Amino acid sequence: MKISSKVKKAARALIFFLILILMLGGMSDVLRVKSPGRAANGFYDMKSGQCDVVMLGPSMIQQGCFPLELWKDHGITAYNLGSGNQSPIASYHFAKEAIEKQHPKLIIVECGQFRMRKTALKTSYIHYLTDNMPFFSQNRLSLIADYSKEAKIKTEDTIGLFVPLTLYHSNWKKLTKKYFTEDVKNKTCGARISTKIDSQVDVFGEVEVNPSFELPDRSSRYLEKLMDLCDETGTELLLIMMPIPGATKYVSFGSFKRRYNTMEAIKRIASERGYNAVNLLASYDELGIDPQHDTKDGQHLNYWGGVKFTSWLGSYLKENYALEDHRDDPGYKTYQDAYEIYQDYIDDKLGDTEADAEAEAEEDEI
Amino acid sequence: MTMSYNSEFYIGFLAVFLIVYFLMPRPRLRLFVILAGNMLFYKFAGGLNPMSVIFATAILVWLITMKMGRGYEECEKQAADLDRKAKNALINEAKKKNRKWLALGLVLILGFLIYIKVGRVLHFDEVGHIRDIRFTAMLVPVGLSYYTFSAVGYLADVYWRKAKAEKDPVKVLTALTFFPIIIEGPILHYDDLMKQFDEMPGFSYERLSFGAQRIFWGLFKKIVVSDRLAAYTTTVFGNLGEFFGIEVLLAVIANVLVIYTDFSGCMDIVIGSAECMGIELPENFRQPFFAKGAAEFWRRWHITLGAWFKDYVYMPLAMNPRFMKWTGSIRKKAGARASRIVSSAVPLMIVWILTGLWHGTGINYLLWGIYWGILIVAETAFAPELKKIPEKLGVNTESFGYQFLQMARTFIYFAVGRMFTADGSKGSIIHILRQMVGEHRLWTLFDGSLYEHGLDRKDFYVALAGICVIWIVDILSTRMKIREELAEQPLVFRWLVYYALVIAVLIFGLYGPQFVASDFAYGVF
Repeated sequence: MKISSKVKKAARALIFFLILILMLGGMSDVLRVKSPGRAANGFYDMKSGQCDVVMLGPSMIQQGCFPLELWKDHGITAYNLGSGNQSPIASYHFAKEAIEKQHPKLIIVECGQFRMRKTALKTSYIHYLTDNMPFFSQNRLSLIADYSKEAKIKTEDTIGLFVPLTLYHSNWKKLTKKYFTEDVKNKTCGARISTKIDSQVDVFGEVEVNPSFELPDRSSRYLEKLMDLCDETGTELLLIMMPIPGATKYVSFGSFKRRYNTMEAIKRIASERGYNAVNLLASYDELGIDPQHDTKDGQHLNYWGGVKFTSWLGSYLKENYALEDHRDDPGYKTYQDAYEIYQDYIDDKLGDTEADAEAEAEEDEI
Repeated sequence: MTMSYNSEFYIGFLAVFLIVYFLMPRPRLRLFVILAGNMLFYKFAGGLNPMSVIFATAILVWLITMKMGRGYEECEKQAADLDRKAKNALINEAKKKNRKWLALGLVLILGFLIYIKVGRVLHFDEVGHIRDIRFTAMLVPVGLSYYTFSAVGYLADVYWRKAKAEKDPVKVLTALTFFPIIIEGPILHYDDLMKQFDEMPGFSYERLSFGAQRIFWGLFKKIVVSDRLAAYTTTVFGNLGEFFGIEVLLAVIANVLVIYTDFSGCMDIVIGSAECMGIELPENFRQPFFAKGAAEFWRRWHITLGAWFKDYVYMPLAMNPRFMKWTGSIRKKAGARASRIVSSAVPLMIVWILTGLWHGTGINYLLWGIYWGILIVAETAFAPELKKIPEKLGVNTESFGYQFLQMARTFIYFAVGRMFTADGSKGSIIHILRQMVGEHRLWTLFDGSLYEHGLDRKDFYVALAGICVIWIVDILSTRMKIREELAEQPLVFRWLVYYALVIAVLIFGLYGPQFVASDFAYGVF
């Protein structure tokens, strides 16, 4: 059959652009910033189907929940996909991504950001999330599209999100082996761990619950979407509010009250849909958390606080969800290897000086 | 978001524009799409208020040319049955009547340009809204110098009957606001552009492909080479007192390359954009640094500006009966050679003074114009003597070495010319020369300190590689039509070239949220 020259030209042009897009994706991947602090660093290295629990949500869960402690105590395989200021929009799309890639049995979502009426505007937060996702991932593209629309991000910033190359292309000057081999591995299965101690924390008092408190529209919408997603995929969902030990420059008592009431409202909605929701915002005593030792800044738990929280979480998961103990399963050797790397990392961290811990805590602040 | 030819915004705008453009089934509809595109472009490039000045100019041009054209049409009707002598008398009569319309147009259009230029010298404010206009608060449209010259040329062409008055106001408006040329030219004959509006072809794979290649080549010159070198020249000329010797010399050389890659890069983007639509624009550069003399240089650099001055200033002056009478009297008194020198030197110096003032209104631009005028006049006047020098020295003028030295001399002419305006001050050339001879600082070439002034070592190597590529392409351009030649090559080879160009722009280009798309240098004129 003779193919017309128009069709040949169209086919040629299409192939040219497809190859170009593939190259753009590859170059974006090489040149993007490689840092263990970025969400999903290491997530895509895991063998598919081995991760039973995925954590999502803002920095409170990212810095307070340690997957490899769950492995150590209960043989639960988990990954922490929390990230700074992770909004409900991002948590939803990341949940989709996690379900597609790992088919986890349980997704845990920290609900601190559900209190926000407006979406955080910093595109750097979205880069933290999306830069490490595969370039052609449908969830990456829809996350950027939804987020850009909701946060009314500038067009040039949206282009930078879709095609990170436009932002990172000047990293060609810094190219070293790590940019090609991605050996900047996350050693903690996604968690960010600080050994800084803030001992000047003013503990919040009791909160009066407002029974008529309603979630902002967008938060309701994405909560429903999350629950629908879990219904459709047969994934369990646990909604939590992490403990915030005390007042900080980021968290006033007003914000604390709002968070508390947000979680109570989420508990009401979750119970109607048959999902568990736990409000741990002020549960220091129950978790054994010492506000004068177990927090790095009053808002985020440090290493010691995170270990205590994760210990409580492990027991809760064992009681409420049928999660397997994989510690004796030879197919899960990579988790044991990961735990040993994590243990060495923790030992090094505990040997850090106070100045190192301060510096790292400041660097981590987003 | 502001519109600049080297911004991602422009690429996105052009892509959407071309999709809509190609969907139109007829040239007339495509014309309206261009007009809409012009308005949208200008909204982001200059604002709707300054655009009203261009619209007013376009309407004025249309009205005046229509008036003149009607006069000639009536005259031609009446002269249909007359003999040649009577016909010419009738036409001259019509011309006399049209002179007042031409004068009105020139006074209003050129007068506005002069008002802006003088206003800038007197530090008048520049406002962005019509309601804020006062005598000392000017509303300045982007591309003023370019469209003014093109408009004046069209008025003159209609007056001289070189072009017929366009009856369709939409075409005149579209031509005057044509977005690819509005900011930096090329300065063109609107008549030629409007004729192309009648024929605008639809989608063509080859035209789109060639146009896209040209656009990317322009982006390579601008955002890979020009903006990179400009980081160094801006640092040096912005703090001239802190730099000496080789640092300043390199800045002068880099400044030449910056202006070449910036302006010619813009022209590539602009001509490529028009090519995608099926519209041909005149070339503005023809390997200028291959010129072997000053006059030849200006036939290769900003070609359309030189052509405009030749058509509308030089020739009218040189062919003016009174002027010719005067040079005739010089021939009688001082001989043929003296007469020939004066007959070219006087209009040339006037052209060059005006060219200097077109570029800027300070004393340094006037001196720049006089500098080039003297060079070109001397080259023309003393051509026989200059030719004898290498002959007497036994130099082979056909040799590569001799021609290379001539090209190097042209580069030096241009570099010296740039020194008149490089640091933006009145005494720019004196400051630069003083700093150049004050201290040599040759060690900065070896101790790495040269890379601390806006251009690090890696950027320097990229810029150098870019200049080499541009030089090679310029050489090849003298021997072949590169895009056509490339189109004949095997698919794999040509795709490698295309990908290399696109990747070079995407990786090494200075663009993105961390960079502000820097304005093209000639956009300020």
